[in-house]
Amino acid sequence: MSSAVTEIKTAPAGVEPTVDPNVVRAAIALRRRTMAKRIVMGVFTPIFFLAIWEVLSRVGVLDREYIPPPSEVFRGMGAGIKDGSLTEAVAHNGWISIQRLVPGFALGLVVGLVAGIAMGILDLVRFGLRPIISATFPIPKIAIFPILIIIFGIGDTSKIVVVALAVFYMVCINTASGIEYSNRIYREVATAFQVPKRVEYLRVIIPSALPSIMTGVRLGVGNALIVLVSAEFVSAQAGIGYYIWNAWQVLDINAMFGGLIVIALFGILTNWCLLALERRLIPWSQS
Amino acid sequence: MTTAHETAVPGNGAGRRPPEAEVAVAVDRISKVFLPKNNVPVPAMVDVSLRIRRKEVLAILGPSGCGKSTLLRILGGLDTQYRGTVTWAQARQEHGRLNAATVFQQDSTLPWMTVAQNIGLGLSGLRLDAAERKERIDRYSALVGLAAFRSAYPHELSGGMKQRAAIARALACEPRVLLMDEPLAALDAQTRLVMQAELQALWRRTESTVVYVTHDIEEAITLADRIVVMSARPGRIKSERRTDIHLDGADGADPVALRAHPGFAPLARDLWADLAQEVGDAL
Ligand SMILES: Nc1ncnc2c1ncn2[C@@H]1O[C@H](COP(=O)(O)OP(=O)(O)OP(=O)(O)O)[C@@H](O)[C@H]1O
Ligand SMILES: [Mg+2]
Repeated sequence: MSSAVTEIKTAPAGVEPTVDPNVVRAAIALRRRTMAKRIVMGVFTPIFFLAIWEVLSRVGVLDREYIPPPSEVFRGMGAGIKDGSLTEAVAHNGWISIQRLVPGFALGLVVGLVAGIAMGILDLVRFGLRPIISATFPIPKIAIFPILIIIFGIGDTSKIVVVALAVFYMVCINTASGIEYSNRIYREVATAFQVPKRVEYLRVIIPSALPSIMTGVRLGVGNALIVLVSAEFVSAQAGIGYYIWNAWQVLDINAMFGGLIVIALFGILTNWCLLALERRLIPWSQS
Repeated sequence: MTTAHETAVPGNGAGRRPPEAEVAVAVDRISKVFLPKNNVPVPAMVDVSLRIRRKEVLAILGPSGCGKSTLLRILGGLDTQYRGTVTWAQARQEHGRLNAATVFQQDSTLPWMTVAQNIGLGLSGLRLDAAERKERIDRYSALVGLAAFRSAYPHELSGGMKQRAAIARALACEPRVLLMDEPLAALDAQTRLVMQAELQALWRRTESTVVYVTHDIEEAITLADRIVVMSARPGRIKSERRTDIHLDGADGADPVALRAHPGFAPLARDLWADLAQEVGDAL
């Protein structure tokens, strides 16, 4: 039915428009469904792979002596946890590794940030450092480890330095390119409004590179773990890498998997913390 | 030098030469050539001369790619690679005032700063005390209709709201010359009319000096005291006209009502005649 005169509806004055509760309910339901899918898939996919492993190991496709089914591994680990032997050994060695990881990471982070920011801001520094960094970046850091042992000795220092190197490259490269390739308009705003240099660096240039810097930091953590465990494989009397290698040598499969699980948990935990930090520091990059 | 300028700029304004003291910034025979990566030079502007007088609103019309943004970037100090001279009446910065502040053609809000912080960043070169700084942030965010969004981040705003934040940032500086590059192009048609009225009223009240780039002939007539048309790339000054069609109390500060002014349609027709040919050449 159409009529020549259209009725004009006006909202009553002074009345807050109310939100339809059904619309809100539907939005909340949608969010819950997405969450439920994520949890179900996140939990069941690993269980599915464990089940495959269990079967393959039981039917003999995997050599049961070296790769026992997960049920056996968990049972063995449970026993080790109950009598305290596994927990104690893992905690002891893990703590030693952390004491190498944290200073190494901090050193690499600070030097990487300073060098990356200098490269991003000052053309001359970039022209000078970039060829060196591009040339040395592809060398596996563990390959330099023997040289570091010669320089810093067999003790903790050489391990801290090799971790620092691994972190340095990731942070430095990502910081420099984050600054170099951030939207030019931000620096143009600073120039157009004659923003003081100090404010420009702290409030414009560094924030514009933060997403890239945080990526560098997360890659740095991953690389730090890889390099430290490798270094502890070849040269250490303690530490989580030493523990795993030693467990393999004496064919203590439960201990081996215990060490692996600790490293995996540590990786997940730091990644979580960094993602939370990222959400705080870069609220604009998520929508 | 002045003679060259006068011959280069035909039009109604050429006869009356204002005393030098009234000139806020003089642009003399500026030429700009871009050298892109492929090394084929692109001449963007040739021998552009302009006098921007105190307290005037100068609109620049011209086809896309004719060098309007390039001219504003040179005036704003963002591009220093050009031939010719730009002479400011006053030293670059004194008494906590900038010579120029820019509203960019594209989104220029900083995503990690709230609206208030974005405006505050523009003020950080001025050494204002905290009270004055806060007062300006409040006043200008209210002027562009963002008072309730001072602590919102750009990703929480619409495109038009972001552009209004950028406008507030430039206005809050109260620079000697305000440089605006299609500032209202990102706004919806209705908000644009409201903003035109607001800007016009503000500039009358504060006697601002403004260089205003736009593609909108009606907007140019509504806001400007003088309108310059540039030719297709490489940009030159093609014509220059004064206009005394203004929004004042009588028109109820209504840009739509202004179109009924008897001088409006003929001026729009003349400007379109100048532009149509250049736009045709630019394509
Ligand atoms: N960075 C650059 N490198 C190379 N050429 C450029 C660059 N910036 C602009 N140009 C050239 O200079 C000319 C003028 O550009 P400008 O941005 O000033 O145009 P405009 O008049 O503002 O156009 P529009 O109305 O579309 O914004 C363009 O034709 C473009 O080819
Ligand atoms: Mg432009």
